[in-house]
Amino acid sequence: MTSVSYDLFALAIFAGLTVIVGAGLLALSELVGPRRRDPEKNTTYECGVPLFDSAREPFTVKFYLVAILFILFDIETVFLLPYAVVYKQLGVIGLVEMGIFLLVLAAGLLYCWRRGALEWD
Amino acid sequence: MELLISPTEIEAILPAGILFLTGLVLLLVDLGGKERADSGMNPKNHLVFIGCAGSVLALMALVTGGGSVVTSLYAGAMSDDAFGRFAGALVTLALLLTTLGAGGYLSSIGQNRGEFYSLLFFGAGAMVLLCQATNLVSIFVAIETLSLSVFVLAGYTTDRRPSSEGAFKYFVLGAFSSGFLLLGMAFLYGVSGGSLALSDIAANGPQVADDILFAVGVLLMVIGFAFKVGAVPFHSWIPDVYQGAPVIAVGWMAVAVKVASFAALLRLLVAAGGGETLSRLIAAIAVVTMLLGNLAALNQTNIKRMLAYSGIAHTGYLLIPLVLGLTGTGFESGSSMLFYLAAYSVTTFAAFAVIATLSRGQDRESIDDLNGLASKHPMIAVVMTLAMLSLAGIPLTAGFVGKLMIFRDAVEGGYIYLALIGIISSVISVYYYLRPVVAMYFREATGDQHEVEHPWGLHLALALAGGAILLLGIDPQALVEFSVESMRSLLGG
Amino acid sequence: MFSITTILYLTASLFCIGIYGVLARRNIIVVLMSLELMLNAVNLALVAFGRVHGTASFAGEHSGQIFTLMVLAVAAAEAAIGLSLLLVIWRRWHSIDVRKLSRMSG
Repeated sequence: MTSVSYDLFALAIFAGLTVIVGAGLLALSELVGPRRRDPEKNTTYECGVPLFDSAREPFTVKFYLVAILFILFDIETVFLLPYAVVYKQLGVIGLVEMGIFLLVLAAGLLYCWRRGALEWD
Repeated sequence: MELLISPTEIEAILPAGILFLTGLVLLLVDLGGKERADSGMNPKNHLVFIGCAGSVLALMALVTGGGSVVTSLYAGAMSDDAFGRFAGALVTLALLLTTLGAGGYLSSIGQNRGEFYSLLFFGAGAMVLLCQATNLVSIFVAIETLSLSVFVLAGYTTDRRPSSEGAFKYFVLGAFSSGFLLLGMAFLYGVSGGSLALSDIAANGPQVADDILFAVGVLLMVIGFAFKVGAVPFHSWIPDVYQGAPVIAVGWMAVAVKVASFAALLRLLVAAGGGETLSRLIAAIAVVTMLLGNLAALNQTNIKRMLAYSGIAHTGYLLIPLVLGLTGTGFESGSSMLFYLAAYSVTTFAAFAVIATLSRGQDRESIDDLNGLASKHPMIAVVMTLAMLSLAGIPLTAGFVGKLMIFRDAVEGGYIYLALIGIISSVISVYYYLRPVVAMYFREATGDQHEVEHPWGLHLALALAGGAILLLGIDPQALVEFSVESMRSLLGG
Repeated sequence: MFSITTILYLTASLFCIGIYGVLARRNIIVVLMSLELMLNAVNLALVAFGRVHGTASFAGEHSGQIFTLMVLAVAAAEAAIGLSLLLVIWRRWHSIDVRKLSRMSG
């Protein structure tokens, strides 16, 4: 238990330092820095492209569909990476099992494609 | 470490494999591109045929294979015993009936698509795996796969508001309960010496039985399963989901989810134990579930909601064998649970399939919609009557034998109060089970009701289910012996 | 390193935050996030237990980590289905407020 509290103590010091340094820098720039406010300066990109509209617009539902598909196909790499580490030990059967796994994924992709889930319009 | 797969392992996973493969085939066969959107009215008999072929094949693989008890396959992830095969066969039988009925029903509501069938089959494959699973990972993955497929089935008719609402409620509560289940699993894994296999947990159980983490772990897992089977106080989702989902899917989830979840819960409790405290807790849950389910069903006018509460009540009866098993009299009473599950499956499916025959464009789900059914469609009325009598537990039906076995076990195990409450609540239930029967035989039909289009599959499924209710009620001996044997295979190891 | 007890306390806190989020928040997206938080809290416990037990027994090493990978995949599938249901609800009724959903009763 002593080692734990020691670790927690170190963590607390670290957290404390972070807060102090962060707040200190902010306060410093607030105190010392010059302040000249005008509308130009308050825009999002001070010397860039003018904004079209607010960033707080709701974005189209189509992104959600893409996000859903992305999550599904992305997370499956979670099984491919451990396999890559041990594929030699697993031999032919491991290869066949991974092949089946990828075929099922491909069937899913084929389904998405044929149902038109990959088209933007 | 060369990876090897033995023939016994292939034999064990074959039924689930067939089901998953059929699901994939069904998904890809019905891919017509976008123009397919309006083809939901088509009966699509080929989908039904593929589905029936797949489920019959899986059923044959389940019934013929697995002569001996093999406990440790795939490094302890699953076993091959008569218990798992019995429960898996129940699930597959329900799948066959549902597939038969789905074509006619879905085309009548204009939603006949390949996705429905493949979701059924993915869920069924997961349920068969769940019945055979013997380690925490395979139990979790199987139960999640079946839950996810059922969530989508509940929200299948996306154009109806209650369907999406019910599905979302089901999803949130289901995922919530999965969290508890998983936390319980993590605790069990933690205290049982770094093993995920149920056999190791059983071996280590006595040494760590006093460990608070072990007790909490088992409790959390029981809570997770209680959600899945709909025991009070975790039942609130059931009426809403049953009311919203398309009725043929309701029949499927009422039957199959309960069978698979109870099989897994039984296997878990046989391994982990839990002792007197847990037994008292489950006894309390059983009492409340029986009473609340039956009392709440009394004044329902929507027949789907009525059957939902009746399903809750039946969960209460099914919990009694678990109580008996945990008190040390041994889990032999689990055989009553297996038989009861079989009886409950055919009966409940029959009831929901009758409602499915009545739907035209949308579900006719008020009890008044049954008025005068007997004069127009006497055979459908007979099946409905059989189902209601069996749910109520009237002699010569499957439900009677099941209740008899469970209450007899309760009396013999010294739990006379459980048997008494069970009998009292069964008597209460007769009142509401007879209401549809009265409506069918003694009331006049109004309007254009009951213009049944006679989808052949639904009627075949109804006939099979009705026949099974009678057969199990009149001559239950063979199935009783089989369930006793199955339970012995689980206990004997 | 931290002891297993500390990590279990952290797991319990995260899990309880998840429970609170599911029960108390109105926005469906926040509810979905809370569900994920519950699962990931347990993942933390699984990894911690896996580290404690190390190569103790059964199926070689790292069973806790393997379980965690499975839970990750399941959580992704769950999130996908949750988001799809959310989409259906939004397209129909233009609201993602949980309370507006509970029309059915009895």
